Amino acid sequence: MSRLLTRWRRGTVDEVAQRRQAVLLLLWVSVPILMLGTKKTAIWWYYLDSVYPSPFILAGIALTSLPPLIFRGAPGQKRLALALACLAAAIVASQVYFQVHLQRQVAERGELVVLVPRLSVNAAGSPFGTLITLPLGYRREIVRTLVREFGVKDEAFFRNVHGAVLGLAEENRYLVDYLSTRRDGRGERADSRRPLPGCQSGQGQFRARGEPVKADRPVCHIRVPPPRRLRGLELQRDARKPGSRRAVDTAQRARVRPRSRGPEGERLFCRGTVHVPPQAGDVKVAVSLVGWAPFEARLHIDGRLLSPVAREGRQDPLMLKAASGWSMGIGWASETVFDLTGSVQPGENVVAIELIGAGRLISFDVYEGRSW
Amino acid sequence: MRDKLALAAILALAAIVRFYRVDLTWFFLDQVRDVSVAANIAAGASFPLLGPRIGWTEAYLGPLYFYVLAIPFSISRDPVAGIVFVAAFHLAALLALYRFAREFFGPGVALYASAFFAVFPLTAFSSRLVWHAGLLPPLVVLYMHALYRLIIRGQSTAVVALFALLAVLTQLHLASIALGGVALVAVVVFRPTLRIVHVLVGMALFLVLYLPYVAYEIAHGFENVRGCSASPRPSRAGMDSEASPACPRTCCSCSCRRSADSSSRASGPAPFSADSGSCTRRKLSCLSLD
Repeated sequence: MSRLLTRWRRGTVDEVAQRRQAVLLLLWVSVPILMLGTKKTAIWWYYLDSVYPSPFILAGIALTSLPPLIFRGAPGQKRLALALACLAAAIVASQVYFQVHLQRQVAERGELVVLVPRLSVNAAGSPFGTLITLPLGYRREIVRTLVREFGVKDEAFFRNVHGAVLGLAEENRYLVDYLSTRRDGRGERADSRRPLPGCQSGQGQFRARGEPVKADRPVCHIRVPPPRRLRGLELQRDARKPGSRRAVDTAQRARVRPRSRGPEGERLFCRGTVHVPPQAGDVKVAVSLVGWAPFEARLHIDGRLLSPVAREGRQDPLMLKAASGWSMGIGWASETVFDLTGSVQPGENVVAIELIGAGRLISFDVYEGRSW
Repeated sequence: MRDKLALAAILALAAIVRFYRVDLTWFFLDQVRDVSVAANIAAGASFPLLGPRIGWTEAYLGPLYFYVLAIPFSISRDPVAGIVFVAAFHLAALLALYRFAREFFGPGVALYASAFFAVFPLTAFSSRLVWHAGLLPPLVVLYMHALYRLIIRGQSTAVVALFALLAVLTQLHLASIALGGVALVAVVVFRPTLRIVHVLVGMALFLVLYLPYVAYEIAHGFENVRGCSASPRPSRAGMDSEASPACPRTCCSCSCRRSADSSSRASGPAPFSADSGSCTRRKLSCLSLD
């Protein structure tokens, strides 16, 4: 600005060039900000990626221009320039430390917490809240372990692996495909029919979120009977695939029928049986849901409503392929855990899972244990 | 020599910030989409005419981002390859910034600007993700370098680079169209000498880089141009879209089975149009077992 104002009237070639440089720099900063300033929705930090280098050039100009502005003598200028260089080095070093430390924290926690509203540059409200997700490295390690050590690859992966922590099948499909193909490419045999470490072995622990998390072990089977009506409700089917005796899979994509609209939203009942082997010990069942709106899961056993022992809900940014293109928006994922210990007997036990919410349900999964 | 050492140190710090535990990044569904599309391009399986969807609109960007991202996936299909590629792009941005600032503002300014830009948390964060915004910084610097050469040095050839870079930038993020505004204002204010041949070559390059997009638009009645001006979708976008948000083929094949199973249900309308392979608007239970 000083260059611009003090040399505006001078006319040597260099001065004209300097003036033009300063004007261009100001245009670089101001035009994008003015254009973005008209937006009424949230302006994310990366909208300003086309501006970012310019403030640092301005900072550089300020730091190199200060010494001759403040001191007339060379020694004073030199000392101030050195002090400013030290200040800049300290800022840079602190930023490096901060960012490396942040990555270490993420590595320790095994999850990435993003406070999205704080990433908005303007005052407009953010449709997103806090996003918590599994870092790519952790996700890849989990999928790699399951594909390579447990032998669940390709479609068998999606039939046998459960847990809200991994999210939708779409989130893992690329990795599963990549790791499965790569394994085959090396000439190693990946036997997808090898059973998961299930009721007997209890193997297959891996670390996530800093504590051991078990691969979901299908101690119990959930079998949903053929379609029938129950209090005006439907959506039942046998979730087991032929030949997959241990499958606990009810990974159904479902849209709630607007049949029994109540004050809390639409309801969907799924009825099935839980098979509990003798000496099963604790029996905990988790219901994982992903929808375009928050959903609540309830579990009824012998007509009694069972209170959940844990429930966690998170926002989930969705980008899903549809016939008309990509559907994007905010999804909601939840995992509700029910303790069935004492409420179920060895053998078959009839359970009903009630899902309540408004909107479209994308994923519904039931498995033993919990993942979050 | 001292400047080169300082620049090397800055590059090293930038590399530490960007490559340290580079796998600890998020991998949401839009990253999965980008990686999948780029890997498909690298494998020769698909050649999209459209790029990523523009947030909260019905429109899409040009496809250049997917083609650029296909470069690392032609070497490795590991998603981390994409992140390393974006991070390396940022290191290239630093070099470009140093060169540009040194040429026009002096070595001192160039070093300060590069040092601050190297560790700026928001750009460092952007560089650790597979996404379109991650590729912007070096191109922005090159664009401004070309503009400075046009305005300050009077190099008419720079206008070719300006048009080409603007075509790339606007296919990466629509907000970078503001840089077109910067160039327009600068040209109007300073009126540099422009040779018509350079302008024509630049415009031709712009058109070539947008060719897939233009071809799509012509074939589809400029639906993206119209989509850009459409009002933003609500935050729960996709809830009422025509198809299931999940893979439509899975949904529809499943619905087909279900429809046959429940054919006795009088109230159950046909859940989808099997011929077209797309679900109808009717909200029906659409089951799918992967």
